[in-house]
Amino acid sequence: MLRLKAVAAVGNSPADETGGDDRGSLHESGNRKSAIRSLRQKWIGSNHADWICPARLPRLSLTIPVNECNGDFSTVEGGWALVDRSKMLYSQTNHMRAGRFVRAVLFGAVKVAILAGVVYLVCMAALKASEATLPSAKELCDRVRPGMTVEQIETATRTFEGWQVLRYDGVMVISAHSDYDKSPVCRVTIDPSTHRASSMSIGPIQMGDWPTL
Amino acid sequence: MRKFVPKLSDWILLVLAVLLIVWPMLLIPLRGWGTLSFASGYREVHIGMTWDEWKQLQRRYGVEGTCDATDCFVDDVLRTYNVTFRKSGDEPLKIWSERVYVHFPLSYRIQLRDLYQAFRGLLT
Repeated sequence: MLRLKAVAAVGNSPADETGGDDRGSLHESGNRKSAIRSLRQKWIGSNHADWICPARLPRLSLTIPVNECNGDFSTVEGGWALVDRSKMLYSQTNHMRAGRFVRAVLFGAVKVAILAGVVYLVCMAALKASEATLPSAKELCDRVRPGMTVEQIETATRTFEGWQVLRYDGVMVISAHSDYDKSPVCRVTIDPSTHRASSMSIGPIQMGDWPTL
Repeated sequence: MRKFVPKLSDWILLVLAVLLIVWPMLLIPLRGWGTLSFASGYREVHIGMTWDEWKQLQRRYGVEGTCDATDCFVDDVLRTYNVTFRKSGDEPLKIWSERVYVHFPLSYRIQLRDLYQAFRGLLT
């Protein structure tokens, strides 16, 4: 990454105008430290404070403005600044590291958020698909036969989601929906003398079908 | 095309994203020292089961539930199992309703409520 940036900076630099071979030397340097050392030698020289255009320094940090030094060397208005070049390079390197780290963390967080959204949607889609395959009240009632005991009815009508209630009046209410929504339920009347199913019916949910209703 | 091939870091981020979504489902069973799945235990629950039988069933499957008035809840990774007890006359407490539901995404609300209560407890 650094090498590419440094090469790009060299491309904009006066070295290109003079036909310098910085690009080649950067490629040969191979690692970051030697790249910085090489650039320092070529573009800064000794550690003097001097009038220098920040944009003509190797662009190692995003904090350095680009294309601000189009004036000549004698003007300040063109974006020239008095800098200690050695400190600037050191600062640039630190900024680069911190910037890289912050960018990587932010980018990773955004990626995780997007992936989490996708995973959430997949889970919701799977849930909706499983709800769609739940039996209707009619299908539940069809599983019940007259003469079945409460336990047999329970076993026959048990679904992935749903509820079963034996009301005080001996009516068993069965639904394959987890929520107490407006979808119809299956009602099985239990004969109090035999404790077996006597009749089945389908209808909307009513008060008393569930303790809280 | 090679740039579209997921890197190791992408897989790590995907695992983090999955954990971000499923953490309430992982935490809910832990809250009650529950189990990954109580489905087979729930199949043994029946209307008319007494309180003692219910506690025995829980012990057998190594789960603990939370009870609120007449309702008892057992959570596993995917679903919540809710039974309601009723007492009539001199008879012991007996189950008279049973309900099972998937607690996703409801689990987020439960966890956020628990976190909020814990936060309030810290403040007071």
